[in-house]
Amino acid sequence: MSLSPEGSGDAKSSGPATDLILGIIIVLFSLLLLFWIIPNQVNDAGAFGLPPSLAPRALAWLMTGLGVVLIAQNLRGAHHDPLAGKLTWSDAGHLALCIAAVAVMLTVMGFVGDAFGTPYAGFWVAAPLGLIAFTLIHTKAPLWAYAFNAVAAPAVIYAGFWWGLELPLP
Amino acid sequence: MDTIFTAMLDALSLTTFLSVVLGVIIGIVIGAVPGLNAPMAIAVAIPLTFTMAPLAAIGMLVGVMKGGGFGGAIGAILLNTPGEPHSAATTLDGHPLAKSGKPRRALQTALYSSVAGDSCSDLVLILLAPTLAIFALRAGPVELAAILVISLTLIASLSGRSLAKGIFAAAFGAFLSTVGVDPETAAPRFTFGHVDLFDGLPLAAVAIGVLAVPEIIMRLQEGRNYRPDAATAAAMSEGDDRLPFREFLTLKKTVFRGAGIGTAIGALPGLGTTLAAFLSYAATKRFSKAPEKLGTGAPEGIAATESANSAVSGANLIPLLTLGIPGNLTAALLVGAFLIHGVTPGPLIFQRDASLIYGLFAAMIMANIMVLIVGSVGLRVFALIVKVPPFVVYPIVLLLCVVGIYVSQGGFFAVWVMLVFSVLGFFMQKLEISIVCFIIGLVLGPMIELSIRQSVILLSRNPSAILDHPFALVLFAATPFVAWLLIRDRKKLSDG
Repeated sequence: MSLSPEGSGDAKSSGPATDLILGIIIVLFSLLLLFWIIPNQVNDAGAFGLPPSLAPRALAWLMTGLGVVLIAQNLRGAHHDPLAGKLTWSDAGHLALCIAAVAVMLTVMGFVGDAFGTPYAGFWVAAPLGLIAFTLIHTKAPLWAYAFNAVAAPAVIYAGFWWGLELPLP
Repeated sequence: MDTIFTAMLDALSLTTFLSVVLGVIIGIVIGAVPGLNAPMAIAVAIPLTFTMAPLAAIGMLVGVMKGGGFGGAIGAILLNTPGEPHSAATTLDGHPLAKSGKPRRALQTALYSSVAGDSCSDLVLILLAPTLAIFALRAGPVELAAILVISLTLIASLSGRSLAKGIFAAAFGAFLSTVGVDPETAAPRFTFGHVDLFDGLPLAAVAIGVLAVPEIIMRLQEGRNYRPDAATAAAMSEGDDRLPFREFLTLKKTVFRGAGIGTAIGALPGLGTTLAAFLSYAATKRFSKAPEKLGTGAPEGIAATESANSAVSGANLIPLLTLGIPGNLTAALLVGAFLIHGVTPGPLIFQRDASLIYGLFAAMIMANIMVLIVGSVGLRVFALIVKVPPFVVYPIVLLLCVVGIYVSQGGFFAVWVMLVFSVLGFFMQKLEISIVCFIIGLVLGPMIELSIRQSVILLSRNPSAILDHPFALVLFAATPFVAWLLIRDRKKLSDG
């Protein structure tokens, strides 16, 4: 598996190929769909023609087959992983950080928006904080960049949406 | 004739005109930012069109598409950073020419070639699409199912190194398109009791989630390592290296050859701009009197690639408007925009929404003219965009994605959906699972389900009735053969 801290991009890997693990995940996910999610989430009772679950089931079976093909292909070509180093723990950590920053921004935006009940209240509180967080995640930028992102950018977006498109934000 | 005349007048209205101009500017600006590209520009612009009239909205997105095509060349030429794979071909001669002290000449060659290639393919679209739609109208559900299956196979075959992953991406997209109320029985599917999911997954949120947000997250990760070479961009303000139009005319053979290659490739689903750009480049090298100059800053090289990849965008609308099949990511996003505005692409569009379609044709011509005017006038300003620091651009684009989805869907639900799909898109990009196939599968899913259901119902009573559909039979039989041929030559095709 290439989920390594180094992210070397080396095609040779001592572990199983990433696509092999991907194939296993696809098969497990498709089986989960077939035997748990589809039966629980699609009701075929009362269907006169073809059941509503026909397309989801067919596609889930197709995905199962493709997962098996991926496994088979990578069992044959062992010790060669073209995806080695493409996905690292560092990538996963960075993704989690970005998603968490957006999620916190959305939560604050919604909370403040509900508390004040005025258009753009949540936006004016959360957007500058969010932009500062995104800038910090990117790099150690000069001070003017934080000021620009915290004040000028939300002001331009506010002007564009509120006066230009007349659309409210929370 | 009255419809065409009315449509032209609609397209010439101030609202549509301003929408097209705004779209062109958005496209050029976003396309010029290193790391961003035309499909991302369209994904970000779709939410802005929700409150617009259909023609103004589609016109704006067409403007973004055409502007983004040229915008991509700016980063490729000045910074040697192609925003899309096809722009890599432009860097071969564009960047050396810019580095030799002629950045304006390189950009003007790209601009004129791009507009010329685009205009040629638009002309083919305008002349061919209505006629092809008449033939397409004769196709029943069985023929449509066969066309959809062979198109998806074409797209999946060329989507990357693994055919299995390409088909998986398309199947997964089609699977997610079944979320919502079943069209026949009205039974809810995969809604988990959530009313917001009854209409299905919000397409704009999913598209921005898998396409734009992961790209921005990856750019944010580059952080301090990103150091663009802004020297060539700075050189824009010095000296006079304009391209006289008569000098551009000496490239007409190259441009027309590129436009022809781009149009032919664009009309077939899945082949895409990268193949067109590299094929045109190879053809130009072959027919050039001085092939050794290509790769060292020859305007011929820029003209060949830019005319070809721009021609793909217009020609891609041929399968979209006549059959409802999007040939690439940009076309798939346009389908989403059509659906949002209550218009279903396909042969019937020429009957039901004739005014909109002829208006769209007029808007496309207008957009080409606007790219030429806006691009020429603002060349120096657009060249400065590549110098805007990434720590200003990417955080703002990320916030725009959030805000755009919020206003388009009128609530936070779609924004959370976008966030979930951002995670999915990030892993798909890292694991080389085709996002193009995923989006096209998502867009085509309902159409495939309907046509296959109708075919099954038709044929289940009388299976031998399949013999009454020889065209569908031929297509079904040809599908594995075409897939085999494409897989065999895939490496050559996708690598150009």
